[in-house]
Amino acid sequence: MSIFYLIYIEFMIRINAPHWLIFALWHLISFIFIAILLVITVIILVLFERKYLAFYTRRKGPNRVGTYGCLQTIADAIKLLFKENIEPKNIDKMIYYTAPLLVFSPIMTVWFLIPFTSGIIPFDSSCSLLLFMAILSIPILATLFAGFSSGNKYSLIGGLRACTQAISSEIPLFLCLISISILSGSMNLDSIVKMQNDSIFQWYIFPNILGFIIFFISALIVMNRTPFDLPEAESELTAGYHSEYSGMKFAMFFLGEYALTFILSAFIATLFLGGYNSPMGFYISDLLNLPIIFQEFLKNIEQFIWLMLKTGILILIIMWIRASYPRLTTEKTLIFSWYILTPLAIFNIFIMAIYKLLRSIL
Amino acid sequence: MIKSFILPIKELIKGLYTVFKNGFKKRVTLEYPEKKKLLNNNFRGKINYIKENCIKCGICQNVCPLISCIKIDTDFSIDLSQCIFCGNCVENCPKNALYFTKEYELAVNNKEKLILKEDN
Amino acid sequence: MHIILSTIDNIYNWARSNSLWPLTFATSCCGIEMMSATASNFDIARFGSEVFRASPRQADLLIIAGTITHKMAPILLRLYEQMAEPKYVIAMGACSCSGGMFKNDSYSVVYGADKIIPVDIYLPMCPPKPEALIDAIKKLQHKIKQESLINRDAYIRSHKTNLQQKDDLDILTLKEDIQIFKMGL
Repeated sequence: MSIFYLIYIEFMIRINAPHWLIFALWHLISFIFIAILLVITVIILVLFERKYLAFYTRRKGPNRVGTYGCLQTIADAIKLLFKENIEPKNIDKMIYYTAPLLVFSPIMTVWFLIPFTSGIIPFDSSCSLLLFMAILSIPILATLFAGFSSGNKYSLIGGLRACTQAISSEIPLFLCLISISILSGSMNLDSIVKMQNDSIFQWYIFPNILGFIIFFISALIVMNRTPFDLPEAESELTAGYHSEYSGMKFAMFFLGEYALTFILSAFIATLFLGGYNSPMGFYISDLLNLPIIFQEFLKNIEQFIWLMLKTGILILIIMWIRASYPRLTTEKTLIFSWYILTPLAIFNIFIMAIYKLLRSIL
Repeated sequence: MIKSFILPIKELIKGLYTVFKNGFKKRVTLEYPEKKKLLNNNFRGKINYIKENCIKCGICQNVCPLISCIKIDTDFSIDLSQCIFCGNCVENCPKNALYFTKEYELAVNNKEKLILKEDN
Repeated sequence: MHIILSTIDNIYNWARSNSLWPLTFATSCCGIEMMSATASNFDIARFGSEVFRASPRQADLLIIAGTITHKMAPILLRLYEQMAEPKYVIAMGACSCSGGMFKNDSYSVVYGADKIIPVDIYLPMCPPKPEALIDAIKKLQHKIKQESLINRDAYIRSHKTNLQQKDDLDILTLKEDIQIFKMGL
């Protein structure tokens, strides 16, 4: 499969490990790698959003806690850990305690499906595309649980609004995925990335620019991000779906949103912007003349850096949009989603089919 | 019909560009504990009391809008937690025994520290 | 025993004092000064209070900025009791310290927010400058850093209020056996 797996298998055979241990330890190591990456990413992203929004509003973000504020998220997380565990009287106990878990665990599961480099693909399956979006429908259910089980009538209305917005924007999302699988012919994320590998003009954003815009906007709605963040802002008006949560349960909602932002940006980068391929077509580490093992390692590191660069550019654009636009109400979001995005997405499928037909003829 | 799409998109991109330009201007934050603003001479900060000039005439107590703020029974005292810093007492004292300073950082733990007595 | 807990105390107090999240509670003119302290010129976000949470269960600092009237008193008590436990109160402005300019003979103002809930820091002046609010938050941070996990029982006991709301009426009564019926305070 890749250089890492070969080295690992050879090491295990040399020390005569039993077969079950080889398989179990490989998956455990990949789980630890993903968990560390997730924790580091969320910590950096929370602080980065504050400093970035402060950049656009001519002030300075947190800069007293560490040097340049780098310990701010750690202080927030420790404080949330030590908060009192409030249990209101009129809640539905089982659903109240299940909702924060259902928000965070699917997001962590979905981190395993993205190809980070050509050698590190934690879970390679032939239907990763469908699996990705299917698992990401579960956090929407969790917001409904959170709104329903708080004993608060305003939370119920807030939860229903959040759920309606998210469901109605999943339809254009799935339709754009159909257009991608028409272009590439498979649902395996690794083969989609390998098909975009010659130069920047092979990336799927160029034939499918309409699909990119529709997918980007629908992803903003699913992430509950401005300008569609009425469910979050409802905490400022009456009560959002997470107003009755305090302490670590609230931290799951809070950090889950940033983890979802990162993983959807990485997903968009994989599908439309060529994944871990470099835009020039050749890798910089191939130009140096080193022995093969070092060259493979350097190539993997360089592919990871390319993927992170593309994800970072998308995250910058998402937060720039947050700093610029006012909010839309739920009614306008639903009208936008059903009357404009869905017909355009269906139209996009026809265009992609015709394009593919013409390319295979010519 | 395509024209009705172009105008909103142009305005949206113009909005993004305005915010982007705003990011490169100078920061306006005044780093508070290190740098403080220059205050003008008429600033009404904490009130101070000169004991030698006071003749206990009672004009400041009569002129104050609040009944129970200034007490001159045996000792003079001002309750700064009720004071609204209007300046009537400072302006009307015949012997200039009260004056404003420029101190405005007056947060305390308990309210008794905010009652200014004669020996301050 | 105090020596063994001192490092945990330091980390616990450091984390709590550097990320105080205020609740949006602005009743009157001092609210404008609080909003001005959040804007770009004097930035509370530098000290960790960037997000002003709107739900009391997620906030841990209650800045009472403004006058408390008799109509608002049961609501203030309810918000204070809904907040989750390590919680602090700053009484900002003359009106919430001790009634302020309404202390002459107003029929509708509560003379000081500390008749209803226990207050940690008093901030006089009418209204205080935004820098004075930042200075009050720094003094509160200094006060938090001197707490200890051993005294936590006494600390929580000092947060119990003596009042409760009579059912179906917006009146606050004492939490004792003899029900003293007062129209406000």
